[in-house]
Amino acid sequence: MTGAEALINTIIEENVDTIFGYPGGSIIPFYDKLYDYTDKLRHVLVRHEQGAVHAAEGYARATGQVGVCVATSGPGATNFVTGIADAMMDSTPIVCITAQVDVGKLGTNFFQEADMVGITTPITKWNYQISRAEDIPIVMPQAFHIARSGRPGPVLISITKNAQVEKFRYRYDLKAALDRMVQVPRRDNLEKRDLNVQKAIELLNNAEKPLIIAGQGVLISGAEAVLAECANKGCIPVACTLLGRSAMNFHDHYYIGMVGMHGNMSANAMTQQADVILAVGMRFSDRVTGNPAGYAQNAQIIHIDIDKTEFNKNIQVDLTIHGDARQMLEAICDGLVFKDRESWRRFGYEQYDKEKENVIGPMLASKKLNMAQVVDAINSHYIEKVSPKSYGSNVVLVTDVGQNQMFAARYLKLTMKTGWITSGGLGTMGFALPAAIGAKCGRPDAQVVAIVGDGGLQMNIQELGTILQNNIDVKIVLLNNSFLGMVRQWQDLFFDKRFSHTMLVNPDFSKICEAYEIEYMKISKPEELEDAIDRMAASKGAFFLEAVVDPTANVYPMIPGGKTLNDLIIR
Amino acid sequence: MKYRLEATVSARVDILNRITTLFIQKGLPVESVNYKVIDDRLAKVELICSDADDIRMDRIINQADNMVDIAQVQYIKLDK
Repeated sequence: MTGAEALINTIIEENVDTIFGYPGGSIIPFYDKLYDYTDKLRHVLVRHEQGAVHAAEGYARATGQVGVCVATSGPGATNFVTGIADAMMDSTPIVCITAQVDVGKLGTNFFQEADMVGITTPITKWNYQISRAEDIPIVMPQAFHIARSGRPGPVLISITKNAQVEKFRYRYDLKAALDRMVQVPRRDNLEKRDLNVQKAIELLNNAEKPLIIAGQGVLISGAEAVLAECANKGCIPVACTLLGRSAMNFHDHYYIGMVGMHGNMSANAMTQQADVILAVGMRFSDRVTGNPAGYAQNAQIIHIDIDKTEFNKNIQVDLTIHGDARQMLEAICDGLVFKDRESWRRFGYEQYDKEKENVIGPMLASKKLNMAQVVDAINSHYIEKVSPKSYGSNVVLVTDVGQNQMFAARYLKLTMKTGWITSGGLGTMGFALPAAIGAKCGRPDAQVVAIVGDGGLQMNIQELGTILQNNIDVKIVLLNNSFLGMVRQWQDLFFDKRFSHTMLVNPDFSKICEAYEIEYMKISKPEELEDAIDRMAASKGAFFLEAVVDPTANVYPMIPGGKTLNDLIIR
Repeated sequence: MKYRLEATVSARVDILNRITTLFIQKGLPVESVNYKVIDDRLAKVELICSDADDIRMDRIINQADNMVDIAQVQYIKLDK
């Protein structure tokens, strides 16, 4: 068997059914063999390698499996870089396969040569250059294992052209491959961990104003149910981070909103007032904490994370518990006792009412169409109307980056079952369209809606071609304000309204959709929304809804950069 | 403060790059690096960093400890 064939076989052995990629010179031997495997492995031809890596991320986030993307050497491989960094920041398990020139030609500035191992070392969980075919059955299982285990992340495999064409005796042996990894299993100090769990239970039980902040770790470890149980059992309010938004039902009595720069007033105010905070699978990003010096000064903080590098990185905490979010929450849940914390919860409700009165209400009632109204309409259709019983379980919502993302995160009433995919850590514009394609490929039964802005859409607009060629049923909602909205908002608030280079002159999207054979509709008034969403939901195949929205509608509340959670502005 | 980092690592060509990257990412100056292959799979690395503190060294150790190609790692504080 040739190396290329072995590579395909290892991918199939790892239960991957779809890969995303773009062929080129050095990867031709792989693509040649792939031609014989089209019945076992679906290949989605994208239009740009960045699209492939975001699609693999979308696939991974929607299914919980490892996403795989393939590109050629040199420019193909370097186009992966943004997506790899994005997956690293958001702990997304992907394996990126890039070709490399012949081993004998390495370092000669050969045509389409780039040192991908060197380039991606700081932004991958692991990377490896395969230069002999016989290394494939050893390295590939390791790559998948590393990508999905512990805190998931991206792995890059660079495979030289000679390794793809060499012949060898192929045998897949997962155990033998994993045995050859040098990392010795760490013996965690379990006694200390158990002791810390006990201390955490004690702190929470004695607290007057406890708060749980749930991050993406809750979703990755499947701890949503035990999180809700903890909240109920101990009467503890729960806030979520941007990536952990679907860790708890929006309608749960204990859910108090999203934390962070554009989070809910209730969640941020309660963070500042709390006496004990249990942070689960989150990393105290600067977008969550604001100025760390003024963050949760009244609270003793307990931090559960599977990655101990996150402990005491941004915020000094009082107690660390190193372990899987679900296991640790289960252990804590066992010891929790119910304590009536009515006044503490009422404080949260009051904050929410204040936000509703000052921000949410006026936004939704505005005569000019704005992003909040569109998101609210998506919400009421896809989560409440279409699937009231299953409650949004068959819906995957993907957002881009910027105002559209923040409005979506704030106004979507997500549930534990709703898919929620967004680029949080790296904040990659252009993420949504390819990620939605990947999500749809991973979950063909789900309804996938991509919420994009006009800036982000045009960063990867070429992927409309992927939708056309592969007939992918993705609903695209373009929130078009003809501005780079979030930058405009900062210029509006902090740079004396000097809108330097943020206004976009956009093309006629109807003509673009016509060219790509995608059904198109445009609205610009709030009263047109309901019919538009109904038409979108009823459409067969891809649909493009352009909503022309008010560019002056900023996302509030907002914590200005470098300020603390107390310095929140609401208009 | 001066620190010595000692690690047992996988003997692969780019391992020095991986370890020094940890310091570069945090803007810490590396004074010297010593590398010796000890068998067909493993190597020892000793690295001296001249201007760090316990907190940042702890972070580096945690990060290194997570790395797949590092079997064992620790640091020692050196007197000036």
